[in-house]
Amino acid sequence: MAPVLRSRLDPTIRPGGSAEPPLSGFGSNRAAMLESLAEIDGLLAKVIAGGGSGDPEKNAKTVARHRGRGKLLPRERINLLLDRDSPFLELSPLAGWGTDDPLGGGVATGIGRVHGTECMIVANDPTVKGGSQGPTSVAKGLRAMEIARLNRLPLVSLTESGGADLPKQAEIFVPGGASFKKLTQLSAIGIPTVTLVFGSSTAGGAYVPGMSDYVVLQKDAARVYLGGPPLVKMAIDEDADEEELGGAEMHARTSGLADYLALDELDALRIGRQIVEHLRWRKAGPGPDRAPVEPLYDPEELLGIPSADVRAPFEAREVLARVLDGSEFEEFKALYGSTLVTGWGHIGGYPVGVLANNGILFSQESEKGAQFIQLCNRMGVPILFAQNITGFMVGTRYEQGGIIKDGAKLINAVSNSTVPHLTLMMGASYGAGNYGMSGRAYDPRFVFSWPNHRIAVMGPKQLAGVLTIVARQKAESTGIEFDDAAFAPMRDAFEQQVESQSTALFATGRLWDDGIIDPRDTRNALTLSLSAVHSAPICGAESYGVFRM
Amino acid sequence: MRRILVANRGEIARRVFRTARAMGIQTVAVYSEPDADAPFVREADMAVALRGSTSVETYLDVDQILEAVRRCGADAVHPGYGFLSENPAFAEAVTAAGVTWIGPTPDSIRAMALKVEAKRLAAEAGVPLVPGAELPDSLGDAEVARIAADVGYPLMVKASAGGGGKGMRIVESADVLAEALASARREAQASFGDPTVFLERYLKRSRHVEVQVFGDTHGHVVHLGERECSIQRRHQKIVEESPSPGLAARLAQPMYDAAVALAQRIGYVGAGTVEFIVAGEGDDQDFYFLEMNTRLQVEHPVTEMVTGLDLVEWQIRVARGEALPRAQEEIVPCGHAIEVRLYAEDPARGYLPNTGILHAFTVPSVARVDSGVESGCEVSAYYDPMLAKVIVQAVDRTTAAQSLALALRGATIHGLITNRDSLVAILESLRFAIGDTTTAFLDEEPTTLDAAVPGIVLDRHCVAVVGDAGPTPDGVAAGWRNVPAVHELLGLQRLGGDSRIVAYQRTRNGFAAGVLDGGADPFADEPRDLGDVGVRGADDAVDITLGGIQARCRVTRYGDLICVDDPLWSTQWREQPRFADREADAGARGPSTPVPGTVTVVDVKAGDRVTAGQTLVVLEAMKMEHRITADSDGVVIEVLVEPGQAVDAHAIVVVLDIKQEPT
Repeated sequence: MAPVLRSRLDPTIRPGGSAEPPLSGFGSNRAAMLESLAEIDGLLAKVIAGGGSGDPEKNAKTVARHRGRGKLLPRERINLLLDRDSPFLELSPLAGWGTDDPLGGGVATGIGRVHGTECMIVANDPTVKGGSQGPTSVAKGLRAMEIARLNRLPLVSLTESGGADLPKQAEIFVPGGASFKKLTQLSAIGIPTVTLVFGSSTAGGAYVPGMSDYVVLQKDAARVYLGGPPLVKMAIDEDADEEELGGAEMHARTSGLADYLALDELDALRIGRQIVEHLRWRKAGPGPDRAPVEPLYDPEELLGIPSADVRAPFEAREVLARVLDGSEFEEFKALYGSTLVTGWGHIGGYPVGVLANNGILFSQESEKGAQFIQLCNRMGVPILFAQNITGFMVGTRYEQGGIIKDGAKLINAVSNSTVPHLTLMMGASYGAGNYGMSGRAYDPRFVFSWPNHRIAVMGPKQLAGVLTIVARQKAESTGIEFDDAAFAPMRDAFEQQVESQSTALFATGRLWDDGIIDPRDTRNALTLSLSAVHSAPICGAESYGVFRM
Repeated sequence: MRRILVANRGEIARRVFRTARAMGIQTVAVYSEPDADAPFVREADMAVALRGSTSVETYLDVDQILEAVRRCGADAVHPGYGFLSENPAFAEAVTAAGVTWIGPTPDSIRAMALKVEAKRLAAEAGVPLVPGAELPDSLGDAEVARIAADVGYPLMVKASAGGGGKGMRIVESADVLAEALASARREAQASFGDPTVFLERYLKRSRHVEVQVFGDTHGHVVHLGERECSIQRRHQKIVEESPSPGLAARLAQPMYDAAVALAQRIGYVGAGTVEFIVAGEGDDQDFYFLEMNTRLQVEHPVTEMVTGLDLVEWQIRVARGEALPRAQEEIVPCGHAIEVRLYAEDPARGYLPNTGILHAFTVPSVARVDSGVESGCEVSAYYDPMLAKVIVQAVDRTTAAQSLALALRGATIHGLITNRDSLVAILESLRFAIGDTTTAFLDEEPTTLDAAVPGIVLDRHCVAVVGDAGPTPDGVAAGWRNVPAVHELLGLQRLGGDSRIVAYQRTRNGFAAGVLDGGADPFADEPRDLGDVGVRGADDAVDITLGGIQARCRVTRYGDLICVDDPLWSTQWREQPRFADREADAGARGPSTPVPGTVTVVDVKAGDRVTAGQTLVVLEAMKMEHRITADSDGVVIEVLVEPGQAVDAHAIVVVLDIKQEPT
């Protein structure tokens, strides 16, 4: 058993046993976090309600009309597809935030258990623009398929989509094509693909069933054709009957596109479950190596631990004490490179290596991280990167000390590591620190953010300051006197812009992560992610780029 | 006496074994094919298999039992109650084989078995009688009607050879006499091998009080006080107590004297019970001789509890030729004892017997439990559906009733519908508390039959079912969502009750739940919100707080059967499949069997036109007749069963075309 982390919030070890937490800012951090969470809950409620427009009344009417046809909402379909009481980790529910796409992209994606098999589920929301696919929908669908591929998860699509979001066809036509390629590529590497069609699945959408291993069409509801009656009329002047053109019975009896004919929605879901059951899918990873143990400390306290102001540092071990099984953590190189905490623990019984930022990355920290990542790869242990990083250290002393080549070692190790990476954005993610700590571009299997997360090339203030200095230098080099007062509004506006583009919502809106999570849900989200990565074999890297010495 | 064979089954066999073992006597069981795995077979030192399944084929087959006696070398036979216990020919055969018969002499049995003879002897002994009349088979309808009119309505038809409510019918008026007679004769024939019946005035609001007597071969006869057994369902006792709460003090001694006088009159040896009807109240109260049972009664434990004596031990001692262990003045009853009979049957649905696996059966230790079953037993349709007798003795009647009710509430009974809730309702009713226990008790307290579980308890148990789900193996809470969106739905069909749908969702701070009627559309109709719901896992249970009340619920699953027990209430549910079986719609339509059993009568043939309510088929199950009637007018297309055929529950017996017009 590894040593147990002790929290400064623990009254039993605090001198005097005062009831007031000694962590500075706990109360105000917590208040700020709850405020952010309330905003996020409000956004989630809109996504769940469906309809997709900004007008709640109109949305309610759209949903009522959908229900009036005896149809279910996507998350109801997902619930019925899943085993009773199966957990469900929904991904990127707020994708599209800050864009003119509907919030959530009109599609729900996530991982849940069907007959005990963890599946990636992609469900169109037909109440949002008729389930048509905009840029966010396409990006979300591609990400879901990527997760299914990397983690070897069977893919179940619950399809009811009007096809491309035509006004946005230019944005999606070319990238959207990858959907069908990736679908068949999943099949090619032996990952089962199952599609249940509850309504329209037309034009390009017709290739979702077309490319799937198993297809279930719902009688009197599914409409699957390359061109609908209007297009057929335009193209070949044929007056086509919808049912004969693409009805479920036609496809089940005549075209052979349907493998199963479902009598209604519930029947389709029942058949979908039956198909997954007969797959007899087995996870290929080693699985947990011990029973899960709750942390000693209350995860509720995670609300007050991360600083509301990302510039204020906080102790990463306080987070680990509330995430790791039994708060147990075997720290590696505790006395070396103190601003990067490395060590081993368990989450949900799964072994995990942890790299957590406790400040800026220096040379020692970079080398320590690079070594630790190699050890995790040797053992085949997944790695959790807990990011709260403002970047690598700069300055003459550090440049001369080789911060570039040391940072490169860390990035080299991260890039070539082949064990699954999970990245938790628990605060700042600025500069190359994002890369060294397995940011989105380094293909972590999952990325989750806390609401206080900020991400940018550097902090907004620094960025604005740098801009000011560059502007002054430019002015001075051309002999113009730099007017500080006149530049101030421009600098402020730029700072504002960077600030607004570095928030957690901005990031999640662009799918830079797989969703914002409530800090209290961190353990469950990471456990389910670890369970998902164990569907695939876990193999450590055998080679890296040349480490610059 | 070194080795006793018990020519019986179930709880009475175990009861006899217990005493025999305590007295250093070896035990032998006989058992039918369905009883091969029963506890009484295992508990005996030796067991002999009987060929066949039904009572007639096995426990009533004198030749097979005698063969078993010879084979195992038993030197004594205890007949228990029921079956051959009051069969004088069997007693004679046992004795003739040189084996000790633990029971009264064949002459005593014969004298009391013939009810008319019994009454004559009772009258001679000075015991008052109820008006009644013999009814030889040879009589014509007119004569029968005249005799019945003489006796007076309401009257009872009773099997001359029987007891225990078998072959017994109440007839309110002359127009239903003929059918009652036919049915009673049929049941008498099936149960006792003799269709002879007699008539007797039916005394309404009377009590059934009986006196336990004991005689030995040295001419001694004592009584062990009385038992009141008025609360009966279909003339079968379900609650018995001692002393009687309603017997006028002035009548007690005369009744004891009458019982002893009758026993002495016939030179009675062994355990016997003289049954009386007590009619009227207070100064108007009187008692009449009903019958004498020449065996150990089912309800003997209440007498044992108040007297502190072991009646089976007494039977054995008397059979060994010893004198009665105590004289009359040494028998001093103490406190109050109440026994209830726990049946696998549904009182709210006409006592429909329930068969299947009794997954779990335990009763709090405050009660004495005489039971033929234990956890894991299968209860078959072949025999009486009684699971156990539960008995409590206490200083007074109120304490006994309350302790017994609490013991029943705390019992774990999984897998079968029972009359437990009904028994609790009886014991806790005001009418029972004041001792107003007549044979009309259940008619006057019909709510005790359909003892409703309070709505909040049903809600609590539904929450327990959904709240009991454990985390995933890696520790994620059941049903966890990072985006809580929609309710999970669970359809539950209560055993012997209504169906409902529970809509539930785990929230960050607890649990949200609502319920819908089984017929509701869970995606359209709004569930009834249960308000603040507290769910907290505790050991192997779950603490549910609902309406401000916390109760610890144990949820146990056996396949799709879900049993919920809290300290005071138990409910059983079947989890409804989430997805309907879409292919199960087709198939034959027609009335089906409510229970497994044997077809005794088929009243229709293909092509017959039938009217709603008309009897189509008569089924015998658990010694009871079940008539299967047409639920609407129609024409018989096909009859799927024939007399003597054994059928499963829910088997279609007759295919009816209800749309076909009569030709």
